Amino acid sequence: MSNLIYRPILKSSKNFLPIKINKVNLSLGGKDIFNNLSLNVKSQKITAITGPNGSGKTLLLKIMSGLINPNSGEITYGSNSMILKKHISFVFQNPIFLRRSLYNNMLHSINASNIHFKNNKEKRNRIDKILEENNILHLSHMSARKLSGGEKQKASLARALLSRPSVLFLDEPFTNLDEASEPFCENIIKEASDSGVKIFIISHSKRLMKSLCDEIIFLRNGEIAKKDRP
Amino acid sequence: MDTFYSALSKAFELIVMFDPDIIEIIILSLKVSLSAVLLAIFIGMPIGAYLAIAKFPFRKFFIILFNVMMGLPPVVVGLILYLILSMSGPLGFLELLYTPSAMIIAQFILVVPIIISLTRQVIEDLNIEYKELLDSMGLSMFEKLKTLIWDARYSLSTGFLAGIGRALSEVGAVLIVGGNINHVTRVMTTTIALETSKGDIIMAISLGIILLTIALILNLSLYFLKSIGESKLYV
Repeated sequence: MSNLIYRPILKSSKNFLPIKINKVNLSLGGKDIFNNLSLNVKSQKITAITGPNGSGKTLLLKIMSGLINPNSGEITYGSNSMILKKHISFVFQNPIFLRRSLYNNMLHSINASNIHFKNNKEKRNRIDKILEENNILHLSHMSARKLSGGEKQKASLARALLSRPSVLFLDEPFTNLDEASEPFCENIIKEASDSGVKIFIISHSKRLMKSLCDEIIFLRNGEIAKKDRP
Repeated sequence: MDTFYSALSKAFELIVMFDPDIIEIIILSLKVSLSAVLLAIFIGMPIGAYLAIAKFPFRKFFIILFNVMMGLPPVVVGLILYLILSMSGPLGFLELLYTPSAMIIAQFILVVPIIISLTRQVIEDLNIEYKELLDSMGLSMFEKLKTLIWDARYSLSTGFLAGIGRALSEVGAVLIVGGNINHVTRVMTTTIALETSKGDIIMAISLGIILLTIALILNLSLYFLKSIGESKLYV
């Protein structure tokens, strides 16, 4: 079910599709990670990336989101040859927060985004609404860095969706979540996807991939071993 | 020991009696040093932060250069500035020599490398923590610097303390470019030097005690401000 508050600024993520990775090479510390890696993602919904530890899942996500520049090769988003970072959000496996309250972290994020607000009240309302949807409104005045692992994951997901991205990268977003929070966050991810956000998620959970994703990419030793549908 | 107690009571007397000459010297000292440090913060902090996160040719050279400049001998700075500001120097037409402005410039030159180097260190450490997040938000260099400086503001106060310490205790450069002129450019350190050379040790020590007290008050205020800030601001 779609939710209007997650709708991307650009009305459809189709502007960013297909996402093409063309002959990407990456070596770090003398070790070859990717060798002529190519990938074409057409799916508008949720794409899972899975594979054994050290297969390059996180690095692939970071290359796709422009956080790491490959040694060679290119990434294109639809007709855009440049990665439009203002339309991309990233949820890290170990969430990073500024030395501020959760609310001020959200405020910083929204100020950095491309969303225009008529006034501060409108901005505040959006932050409160997102926090409420993610069930963390009561934590808004706490130090973001002092939240528990699960709360940080939820807050990180909320912050990523705050800026109304077209593409969302999730690096094992359920790592620290308890049993009750996992389906809750799953639902949020589903809502975001239904609202038009293209999502990439790194996961090891077969159940999750089956229930959430419409495409699964298996990575092994920096190569695409298999591309499948659940 | 007697000399010390006499100096202590003299210092107390000078402050309690509001000796106009002493008050004038204290005010001028604070005015010169605070102006120099604030100017150094205004210019040095963005430079230090930029050095911490930007990548450009000769970056390491600049880092080493500013580190080396932290140990600039004040007398040499005073001498070079004297040559520049003297009537026959390139900036002589500004007629700044023997004015508080010349003293501010001298102290600024001594303090700015400290501010730059400490800022670079603090911001570099914080950027290790923040880099991926700020990159993922697609922030411009200016927005990144703004975020990093703001979040590191309490750690950066150490730079202010080091700067004010260097400026308040400085004597060589301000003596050369200020000239230690009574009621014009006489500050605490130059007065201490003068009184010592005149043999008025008690006056010199009492001024020293006042100088130390000011430094202590500044340090304590900033320490408490930092503690309160950090506890409120979730470091």
